[in-house]
Amino acid sequence: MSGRLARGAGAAVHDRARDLAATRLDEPLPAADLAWLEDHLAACADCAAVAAEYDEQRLSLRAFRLDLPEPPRDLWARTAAALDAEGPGRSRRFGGWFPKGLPLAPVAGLMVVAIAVSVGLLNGRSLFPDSTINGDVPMPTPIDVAATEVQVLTRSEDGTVRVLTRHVDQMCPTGVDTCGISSTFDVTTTASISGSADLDGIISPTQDRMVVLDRGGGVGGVGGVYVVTMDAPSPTPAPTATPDPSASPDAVSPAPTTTPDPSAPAATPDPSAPATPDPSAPTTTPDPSAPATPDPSAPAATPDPSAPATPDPSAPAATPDPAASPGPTPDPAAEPTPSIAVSPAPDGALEIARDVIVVGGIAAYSLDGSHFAFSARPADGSVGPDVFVWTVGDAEARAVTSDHVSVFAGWLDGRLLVSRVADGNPETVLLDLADGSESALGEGRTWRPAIGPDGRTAAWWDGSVTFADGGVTPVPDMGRLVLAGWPASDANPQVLAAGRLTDWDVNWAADGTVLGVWTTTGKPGKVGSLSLYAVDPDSGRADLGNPLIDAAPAFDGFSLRSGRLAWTAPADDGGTTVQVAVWSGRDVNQLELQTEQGVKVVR
Amino acid sequence: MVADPFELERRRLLPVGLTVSAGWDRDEAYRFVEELFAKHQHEIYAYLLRMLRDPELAADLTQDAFVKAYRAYDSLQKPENARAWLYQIAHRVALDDLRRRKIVRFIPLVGETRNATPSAEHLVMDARLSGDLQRALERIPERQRAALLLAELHDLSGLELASALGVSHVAARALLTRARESLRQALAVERQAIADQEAAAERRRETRS
Repeated sequence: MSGRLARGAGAAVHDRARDLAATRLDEPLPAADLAWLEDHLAACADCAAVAAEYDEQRLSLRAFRLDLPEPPRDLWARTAAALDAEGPGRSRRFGGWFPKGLPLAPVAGLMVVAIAVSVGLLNGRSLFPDSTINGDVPMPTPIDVAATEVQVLTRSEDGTVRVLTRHVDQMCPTGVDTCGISSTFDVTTTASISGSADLDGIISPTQDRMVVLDRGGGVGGVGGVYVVTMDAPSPTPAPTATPDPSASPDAVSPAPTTTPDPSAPAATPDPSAPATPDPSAPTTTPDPSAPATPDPSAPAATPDPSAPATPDPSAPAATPDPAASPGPTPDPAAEPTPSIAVSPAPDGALEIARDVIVVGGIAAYSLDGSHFAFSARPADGSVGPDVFVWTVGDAEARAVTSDHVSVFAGWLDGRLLVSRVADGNPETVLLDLADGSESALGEGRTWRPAIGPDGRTAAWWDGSVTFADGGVTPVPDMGRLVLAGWPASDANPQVLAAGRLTDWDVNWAADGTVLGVWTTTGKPGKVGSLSLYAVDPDSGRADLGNPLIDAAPAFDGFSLRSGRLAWTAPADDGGTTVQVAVWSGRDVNQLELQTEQGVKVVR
Repeated sequence: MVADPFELERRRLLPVGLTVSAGWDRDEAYRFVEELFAKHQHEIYAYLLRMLRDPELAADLTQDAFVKAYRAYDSLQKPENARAWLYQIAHRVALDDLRRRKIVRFIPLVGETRNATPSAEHLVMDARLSGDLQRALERIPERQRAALLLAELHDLSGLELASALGVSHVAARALLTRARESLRQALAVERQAIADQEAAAERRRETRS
C-alpha cells in the first residue's frame, strides 16, 4: 500500500513538473515554482527531455508564424458584397482601406494595437499604458535614454552608397514604438560604389571605416566588397566596442586604404597589382609569383607579418581543387597567397574583392580591427565559398581556405572560426592566421558557432546542411539552433529554433547578458523573426520563456551593440522601417524610424 | 472588455435582422469592419486555413467571420480588443463548420507516400508546416489545436487567447498546457511511424538486394 502511494506521489511530482514546464512557456512562473521546476529538471532526465520537447515544439510552431498564406485577391470584394446583402442603410463608399473621415479614436487605437502586436514586443505584458487606449489616444511621451546611435546603409538614386546616421537619446515608452519622435537621419558618409542595392555594412571597431558588402542583388548578380572611409566622427559619439589595447597603431591608423592611389586611376587596374583582373575572367586566379603588394602610396599598407598571407599549403584548407581553376583558389604548390581579383580604389572606396557573391550573413572585423573576414564564392557559380580575410593596409582580400565549402563563422582569440561540410557532415575548425594551421572544435555537428564574449557559451547549428545556389553554397537544412556550453557538447542544450531553417543569425551583446537570435524559413530577402533573450551570466542559460523581444518581424542583418538592438522590418506601405530597442532589466523601449525601401542596418 | 461570449453566441444564433440593436450604426459598423479587414484579413485567413486545411473553405469562412463581425459590431465595447474579438468570431466559425461538416481529415501516418496525388490543400499546408508537425496537429482535439495555433502562430496573449476561445484565462492556460502535451505525444507517434516506415523500406531494399 505504501509502495503504491509512493508511486502515485512520484507520478504526481512528475506530472506537476511537466505542467509547469508547459505553463512556463505561456507565462512567468512564480519564483518558488520556477526554482522547484529547475531543481526537478536537473534531477529528472525524463522530465527534462519532455521540457526540451515542449521548447522545441514551440519553436517549430513559431518558425511558421510569419509565413502567412495569401488570401484570395477577391476576398474583400466578396466580403463587401456580403455586407451589402446585410441590408440597406449603409452609405457605400469607394476608395482605399484608410479613407478620410474615419472616427479617430477606434482607428488610431486599432493601428497602434496592430503595430504593437505585430512587432511582438508585448509578450506577457499589458498592451498599452491605460492612457493610450481610451478617448483620443494621446501620443505617448518619449523618455530619455542613454545616448546611442544607429547607422543604416542605402543606395541613393544616383547610385552612390550613403551611410545615414541617427543619434538616439529618446525612446518610446514600454509597449509602443511610435511616439512622435522624429524619424530623420543625417547623411554622414557617401561613397561612389557601383553595383546592386543589396548591401551590407560592417563598421570597424574604431568606427573610422566601414566594409560594404555588395551582395549582388540576387540570382545572376555580381557583387563586391569595399572599404569606405567614414566621415568625421559625430559630435556625440555612441559608446562603442572597446578596441583591443594591444592592437597595433598601424592597424587602427586612420583609414589608409580609403585614399585613392593617384597613380592608379579607378578604372585602370594597376598592372603591378597582385591580382590583375582579367576582363574575361572576373574571378582570376592570382599570380602565385606575385603576392599581394600593398599600395606603396598607402601609409599603412605594409603587410602585417602576422597576417594570413601564407596559409599552410599542407593544411586541408589550402588544398587546391584542380577542377576549380576559375575560382579564388590559389595554387598552393607555388605561392599560396590566394586572393580575389581586386581593382584600385574607385572614387574613395577601396575595392578589396570583386566579381564575387558574398555568402552568408556573417562578416566581421577582428576585435582589434586589424582584419576583416567574410565568405564569398566566384560570381560565376563555378565553385562554392571560401573564407577571405582583408588585413588593414592591404590592397585586397585573400582567401584563407580553398576547399570551396567553407564559411566564416566568427573570430575567437584572434583566430578564425571556419565552418565547412566535410564528408557530408558540418564541422567547425579554428584557423590560425599566423601559420594556417587548423584545430578541430566541438563534437559532432557544430556549424557556424556564435561564441559568447566569455568564451564559455555558444549558439550553433546542430543539424544537417544542404547546398543552395546551384549546389555550391552550404545552408542550414533540418536541425536545431542550440545554445549550450562551449566547447560544444550535447550537455543540456537550449533550443533556440528547430526545424527546417533557411538561415539564421545569432549575435551577443558585448557584455554577454543578452543574445539576439534571427531565424527565417523563407527565401533570401524574405522577412524572418528576431528575438532578444536575457542570458544569465553565471549559467549561460537564456531566459527563453520570457524574451525581451519576441519574434519581431525582421529582415536579415540586425545589429546588437552599444547597448541597443537595431533591425529593419517591413512597413505597411511596402517600405522599410528601422526599429531600435534599448532595454533595462526587463523593460524594453522601442523606436520606429521610417526610411526608404531596402535600407540595411550597419552592424 | 470583450463581449460576453455567450451573448455573442446568442446574437449569432438570432436571425440576422434581430442582431442589430437600436443604437447600431450601419455606416460606422461598415467602416469599422472595413478597417478590421484591412488589418487582419491575412491572419484570420491563415488561422482558418490552418484549422481547416482547405483554402477555399478558409476564404469562405473568413468572409463569414467579417460579416458576423459586422452584425455583432455593437457588442465590441473596446476597439483595442478588436483583434481578440475577431479571433473569437473566427474561432467559432471554424468550430461550427468543423462540427457541421465533420471535417476531420485523418491523414494516414504515411499519407504523402500512400497518396499518389496529394490534394491542393495538403500542398498548401505542407508547404507551410512540416509534414510531421502538421499531421501531429491534426491528431489533437480541435480546441487544443486552436489554442496552440492562436498562442504560437498568431501571437495571442493569455487574455486574448481566453477571449478568442471564449473561456476564462485559467481555462485557456490549462487548455494550452494539455495541448502541448497532446502535441508532444502526437509528434512522437508521427516520428515513430516515419522511423518504422523507413526501417521497413530498408528491409525491403535489403531483401531485394
